[in-house]
Amino acid sequence: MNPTPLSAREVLWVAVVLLLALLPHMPRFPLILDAGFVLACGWRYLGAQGVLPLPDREHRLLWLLKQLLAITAFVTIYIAFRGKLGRDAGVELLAALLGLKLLEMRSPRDYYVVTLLCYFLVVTNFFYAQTIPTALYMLGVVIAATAVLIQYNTPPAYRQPRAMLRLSALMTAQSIPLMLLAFVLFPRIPGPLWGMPQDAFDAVTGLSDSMTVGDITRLGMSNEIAFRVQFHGPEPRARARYWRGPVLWHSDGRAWQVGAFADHPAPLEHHGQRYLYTVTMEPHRKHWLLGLDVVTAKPRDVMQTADYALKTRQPLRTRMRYDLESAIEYRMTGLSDAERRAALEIPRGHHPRARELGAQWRAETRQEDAIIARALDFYRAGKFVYSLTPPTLPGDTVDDFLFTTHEGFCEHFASSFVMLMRAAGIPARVVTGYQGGEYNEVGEYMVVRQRDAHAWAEVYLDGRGWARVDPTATVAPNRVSLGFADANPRGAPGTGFARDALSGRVWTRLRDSFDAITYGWNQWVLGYTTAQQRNLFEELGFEDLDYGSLVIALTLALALTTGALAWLMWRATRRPRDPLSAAYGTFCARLARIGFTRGASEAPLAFAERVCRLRGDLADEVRAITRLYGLLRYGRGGVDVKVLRRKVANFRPKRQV
Amino acid sequence: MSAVTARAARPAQQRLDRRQVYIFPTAAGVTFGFMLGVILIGAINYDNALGYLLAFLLFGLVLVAMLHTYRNLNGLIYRGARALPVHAGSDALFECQFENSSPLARLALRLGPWPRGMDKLTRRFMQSTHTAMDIAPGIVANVGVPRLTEKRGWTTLGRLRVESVYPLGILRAWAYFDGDSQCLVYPAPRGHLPLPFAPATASGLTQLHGVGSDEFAGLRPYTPGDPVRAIAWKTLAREREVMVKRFHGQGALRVLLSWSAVASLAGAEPRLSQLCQWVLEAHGAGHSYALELPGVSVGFGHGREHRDECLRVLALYEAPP
Repeated sequence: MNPTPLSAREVLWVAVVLLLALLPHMPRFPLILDAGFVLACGWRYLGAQGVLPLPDREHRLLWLLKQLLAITAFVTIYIAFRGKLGRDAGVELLAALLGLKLLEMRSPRDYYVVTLLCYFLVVTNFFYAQTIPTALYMLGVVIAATAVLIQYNTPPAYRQPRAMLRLSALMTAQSIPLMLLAFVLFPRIPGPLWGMPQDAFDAVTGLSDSMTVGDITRLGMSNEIAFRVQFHGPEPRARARYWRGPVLWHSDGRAWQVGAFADHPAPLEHHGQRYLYTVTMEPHRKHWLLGLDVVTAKPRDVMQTADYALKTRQPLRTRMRYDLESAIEYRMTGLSDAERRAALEIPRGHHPRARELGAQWRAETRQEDAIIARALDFYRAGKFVYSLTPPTLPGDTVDDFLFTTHEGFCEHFASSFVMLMRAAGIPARVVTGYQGGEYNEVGEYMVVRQRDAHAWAEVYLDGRGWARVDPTATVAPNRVSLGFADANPRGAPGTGFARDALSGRVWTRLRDSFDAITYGWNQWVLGYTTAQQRNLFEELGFEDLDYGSLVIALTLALALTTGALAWLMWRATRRPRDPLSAAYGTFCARLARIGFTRGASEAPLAFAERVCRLRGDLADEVRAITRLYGLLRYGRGGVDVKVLRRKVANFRPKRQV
Repeated sequence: MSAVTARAARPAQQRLDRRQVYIFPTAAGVTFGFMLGVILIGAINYDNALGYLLAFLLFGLVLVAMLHTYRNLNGLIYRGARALPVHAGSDALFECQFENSSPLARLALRLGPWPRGMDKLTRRFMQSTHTAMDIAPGIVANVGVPRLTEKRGWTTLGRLRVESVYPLGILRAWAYFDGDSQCLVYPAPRGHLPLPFAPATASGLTQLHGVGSDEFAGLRPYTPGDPVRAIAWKTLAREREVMVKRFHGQGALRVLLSWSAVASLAGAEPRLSQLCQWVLEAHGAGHSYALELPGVSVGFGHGREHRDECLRVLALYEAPP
């Protein structure tokens, strides 16, 4: 095809688009790779301008330099990832190859390859972020890349950057309805099709099956959203909003693990208010789902453990929506021997002082309520401090906290309390989850963030069953009634604005609005999966939609929309017809129907006279219309085309019998 | 334009509509499709909603590009072609006339002859020799399409192909125009025989009647050495070359170009080529010459029109078996 060397301008635009597509990646890349990439772009541009020679066979030294650049890039990537080709390494490799390809870009084919790979770079960005700003930015990159393709195919005389960008934007805009149709109708196949690299979804925070003291502190720093809740009916008060997650039974002195007991839930009697709500859980790569305290009704595909935690069969890879019903007043009884043993177990050789204290309380009183009260008094009297940044506990996590540092986060309180109870002979376990949640006024739903992660204790009281005790609430009552941020003036993120009342309110309002948009985006765009697709079509009245019908619907919809676009484009390029000629044309067409065809060079007046001679009955109308036409065409104005149009509309001549 | 091209006057114009425009992906388009597939599979595998959106946006872009590529050709009007006569062996340049009646410019069109029944290699070669053209809105454009000639006689332009990959280069739209535009091809001027001057006088040179008269006898092309006052300034604007006025008695000689004069050559074509060469020589030298072929003859004369008439006779002459 076109063997002419690429012009400096063509090269410049390709380089700019490449840099735009790579920009969000740059902070993630090793610095040397970023520098090399910018260097390659600059070199290629100056080369196209003829300022610098390009690395080809004629310039041996430069060619060697390029090879050196390539080797440096690959070694850097290899060292950074120790030879493991995962997501990050893959993206860096692609970027490095593109930079080198840019240097070699000569023929139209290279040009196309580099531009098409720009589109591919866009998609790599989505592995890291799928927010609205990312989507908008990448839409811009797609428009720019398309403009680069247009530039290459536009003859030089017509290459105005604005015109090409406008055409690109127009074409992209025209593609958007097609995109939306395909997005809704394309049959969704639940992934993955094959194993994914290990690092495909890192940086996802959330609760896990185990808890090491310090874990929740890490979550506490995060403003990320854990899940959102929409209540259908009444909502529980703030201090009753305990969102139950994994229940931990076993401790090795430092780390807590979930218990593995029978899968049928313990007997439960609930009374009082019941709450109906929908949870939208953010993906966290684990099996846990969250529900308000004790869930009494759930969808079939959600499982419930013996200790009333909710689980999914597959790790939560995508956002999930589910409806629940909960009670916060209940009696949860039944404790098997195995469970009792687990709920009384203190790891051998650990926590000697806590063990001693618990045994001492037990010796003093046999009343469980009294023992619990003593323990809580112990926290209160001991000047325990609730802190986001407690000192590390290298020794015995429970004893050091209880008797030395006195400073801890909720997991310190919960685990030490459970150990004290166990030492006093009361079965106890740790429950992890979230506490609180703030109301989004704009979207009318509740947001629970990672920083709301919490841990509390449950003790088994004979005759009453499992009862919740939250030792953190004893020390920092605000933590439970107001939520995390307000309980922690120290080091809590995202609260700087909230000080001054007015700006605080504005800030909250803004953040709520933004989050409401994000919620919609998450729910309808990011959360549109196989299940959502099925739900949508069920709501529209299509039960059991199979892939075949979806494909047919998709094809039809795309064909119709493309046809509509074609029609719009055709209409836009058609010259607007003069309304006066149109009206007169209709008049002539009506006369033609009764046998009077106006000759190509016949003047309107002559035509009118010809008609009048033969059809005296039409003479008045024909003369009036022709006179009006003449006035409008050649007169000084003062008459409206509408008058003519109305007259023509009423003119319905019939053949003479 | 001379009278010989009148035969190629005005064929019916042809307007492209949707049944005549074909569309197919280019090599770049196939790569684009492959990339689209990879993005889609990646989106499915990673359950990446924005990956899906991008794949579908690019798919939509292909459909939209189809409309735009197609629109670039749709409605284009071909008003036929004309060509000045040439000698066999050189390129005939057909001036093809296109009209763009739409309010949008038609960009990056490529035009070329497209004879039927070509093998793949020739076709690829033909595609590479296409002429580029852009037609602004509401404009009638003339585009020269060269066509190699081999034999004398009428050469038909034949089928023309117009194609465009504008705007994205991933799809190629093309269409054919069929016309009967023709170009007259004179024989190739060849041969080394000397001009056969008419053997009317003993000297072998016959001076024209009216020796010394200053009667205007026509024009001949300027050759170095001609007096400046002999240059026909008035015709300079009209003609392509500088002409010199010639008057009877200015050394004009009579030359009879006859079939018998070339009898020494074997075959009809070499003879016609030699005659053609003589016609050009005689015209260049400003001689008066006549053509005599079995069955056809052109009387003595001179000037451009006379030359063209002789050449036309030579081009279309059907030699007796």
